Amino acid sequence: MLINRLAGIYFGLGLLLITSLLLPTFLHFNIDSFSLLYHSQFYQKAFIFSLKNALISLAISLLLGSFIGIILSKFSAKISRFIYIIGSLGMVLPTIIVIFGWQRLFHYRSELTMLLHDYFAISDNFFYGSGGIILIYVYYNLPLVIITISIRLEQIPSNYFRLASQLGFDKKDYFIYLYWPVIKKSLANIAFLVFLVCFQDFSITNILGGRPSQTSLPVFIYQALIYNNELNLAAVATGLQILPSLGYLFFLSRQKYRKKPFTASEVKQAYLPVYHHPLFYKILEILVLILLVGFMLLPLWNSALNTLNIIQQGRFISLAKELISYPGFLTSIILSTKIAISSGILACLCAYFHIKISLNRPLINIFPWLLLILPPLSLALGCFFILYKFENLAVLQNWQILASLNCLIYYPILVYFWYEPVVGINRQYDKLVKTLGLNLWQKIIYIEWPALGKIFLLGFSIVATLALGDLTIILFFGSPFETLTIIHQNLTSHYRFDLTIILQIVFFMLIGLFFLPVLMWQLFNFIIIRSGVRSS
Amino acid sequence: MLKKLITLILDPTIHHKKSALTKEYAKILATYLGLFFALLVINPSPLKGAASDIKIKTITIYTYDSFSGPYGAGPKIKDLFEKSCNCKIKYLSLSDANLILSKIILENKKTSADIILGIDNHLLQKANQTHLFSPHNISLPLSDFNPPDDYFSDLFLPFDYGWFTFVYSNKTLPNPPKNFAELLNIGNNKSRSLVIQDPRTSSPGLGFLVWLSTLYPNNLGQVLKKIDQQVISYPKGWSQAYQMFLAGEAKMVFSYITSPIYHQLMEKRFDIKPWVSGDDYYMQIEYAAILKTSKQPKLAKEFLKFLVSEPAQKLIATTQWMYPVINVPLPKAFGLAKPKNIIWPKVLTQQEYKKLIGQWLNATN
Repeated sequence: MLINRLAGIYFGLGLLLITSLLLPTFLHFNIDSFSLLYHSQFYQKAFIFSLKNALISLAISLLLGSFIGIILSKFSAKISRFIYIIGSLGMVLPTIIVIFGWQRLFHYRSELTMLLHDYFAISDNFFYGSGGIILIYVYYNLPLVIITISIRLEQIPSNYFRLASQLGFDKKDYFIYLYWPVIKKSLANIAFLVFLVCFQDFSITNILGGRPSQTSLPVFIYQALIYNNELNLAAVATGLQILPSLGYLFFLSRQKYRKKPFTASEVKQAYLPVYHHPLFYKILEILVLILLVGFMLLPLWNSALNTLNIIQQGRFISLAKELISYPGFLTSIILSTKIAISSGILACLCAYFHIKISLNRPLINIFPWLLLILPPLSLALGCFFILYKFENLAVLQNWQILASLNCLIYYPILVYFWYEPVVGINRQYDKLVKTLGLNLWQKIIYIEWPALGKIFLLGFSIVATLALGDLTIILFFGSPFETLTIIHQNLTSHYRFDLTIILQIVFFMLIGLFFLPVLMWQLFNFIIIRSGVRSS
Repeated sequence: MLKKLITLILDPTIHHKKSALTKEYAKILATYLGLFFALLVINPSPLKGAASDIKIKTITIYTYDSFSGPYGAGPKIKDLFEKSCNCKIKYLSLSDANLILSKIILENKKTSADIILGIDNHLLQKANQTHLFSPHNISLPLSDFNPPDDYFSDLFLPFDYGWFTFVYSNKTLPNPPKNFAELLNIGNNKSRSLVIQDPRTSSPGLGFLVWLSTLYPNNLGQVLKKIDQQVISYPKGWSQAYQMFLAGEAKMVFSYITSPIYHQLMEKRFDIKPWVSGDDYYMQIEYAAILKTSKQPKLAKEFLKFLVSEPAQKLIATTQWMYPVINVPLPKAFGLAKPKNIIWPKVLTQQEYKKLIGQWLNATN
């Protein structure tokens, strides 16, 4: 009964929230702005730039991702798991850290850049533009494609492979008759998602697109608002940017009831595909594995090397002292931590209660989906339009707003990951809960927390880390409100790379702090299991 | 807690105490959350801190980062003024002057700024049209600073000036181009060598655009396209662009004729030179203004008076490396750097400003 009432309130509040965030943008529409946008060469350039980057990175991610996904699906579960962890690590790392890592490799006049310039006639500032932007897009999207495709391929029943082997399939036949039908099914979905992520990107193009011709659509919107105070133009451009998201929503609604590729009874993951590997392919597979791990870890490896270099030079302490005395640094640590932890807790609460309320009420699931696919910039712009009318933005720049917006952007991700485990546990213990007459709180303490505690804590850590690295919402709400990401950006733009490296250590320490509850959980479980083994 | 935890971990009969371990975990999680909630109580928001300070009056100044940063004149002027006024100065830094005005326009009457500091002659008209500023009623004494009348205003008080030019190192560029015509042809697309600020956000960037439009009024678009082929990047602000040059990423950076004086006097580095072109030089004047909505108008006016007084003007010359608007003793190098041929284009109207930016956006690739 209570849940029913809550569901009604939640639905109403969700509808109100989405409307109030989108409506102000649409209310700023006017014919003049449409006409201005239609005739603006700058807008057309920005549109083509965004589209070009999104399509190229999509093509590279899909081609490479499918290839590596096929190879990965043949590895043992342990190696696949290792790759998933490495891939997930890349997806969670703050954008500025990843960009900085690559930037140190490909900066203007670096050895690698000079090599590319001298031998391949590639422009020596290629990283600041499409080159760098596409590279970073591929870095973020490749793991997503690989994980999705390899998980799908792992579900191919082993007897299919046995049959293929008996029929004497070669590599081409395997691809055409076994892999492609499976890949095809998830390809459209993942392609749409990757395209949207790139097309809507703000932070990467804002950092790497230094010229007007390298301005993406979200950066165009940001500049129209912040540089030129053209509110209506920004609103119209945002409205047009939402269209692909709505297209994706329509696509998803058509996809919903499609049959899964294989039924659960057909899938026997314990059996690995059985067919002969010539030595050449074995070597190729290992090479791909090494290259992939190298590619994913390169930015981190670069940071680690730079840190070691600073320690060897004996500058670590003096640089740390300089960073501590840097204007606004200590304040920014507190603010960033507050924003990150509040976003994490808020997103966990929202996701948990959303799942609870949405059981048997599929219509409610439209909210996280909408929030997931809408450009984060459109939410920030909506919030901006609401707030700037009532108060001075500089005063409004407080962490509560930033945490709430981060929560709105990231809680749908938690809903996506938690949905099945939470629903599964609920179904499993439904009868027991009713028999014992447990209330919601007791159910959380005695059933859900022991079973799903690690997943809950992991969800919190991931959202807190993502919020720590946020560079979209904080930029939208101005510069006096300094966070660690803003300081990182200031330091790199002023060529204080040595201080940036020390700052990155602070970032990693904070990320470690966010993952501490998960690590503790693992440790405690390890102790309990080990002592159990010892005693038996 | 840690001691108890270690005892529990080492205890061989631990399997009997699973619940004890779970309790310990709960305690750690509670401590973690407790620390977080303690963090929530601390609110270091810079503006809130100022508001809560009731006894000491505070003036909030929106300015650009190379003025308020650790190497700019801002911190020293703040210290000097705070000693005499029993008040606090709070700088709110933005990457360049154009953003200061954009922010003020966006915040409008709700702004918390008392003063804006750093907008230049290119933005005078735009700033005037906002009707957000009040007259300063401060007159400057007669000095070497004597631009045409339309560069003066009742609302905006000039506090420094200087001439734009490119700056280069004669180590990396031993034979610099002699004039703009040569500058347009010093490199090719594969080897760009210039850094110029984005004219939408930066006052030197806009200054460059206006200078070029004065020199090439008939074929500005073509000239901009040619220049664009030499440009590595258009950073948002002067300090970012200058750091790019110092890091060796560019051979020439758009800056001020006085920039090399800093390297000569402070670093004893003589390789950095101002580009001496055969063309006429173009001046930038920086202004400060009081907002109509200021809660401390008297104090704000006191600050502006102080800004054009001798102690502050001396500081501006030797920390901002710009010419003072009153006559103060200056290092010899300032006198030597002054150009002879100067142009005074008329102050830009809002329409002209938009047209120029449009031309630049279309020309850049």
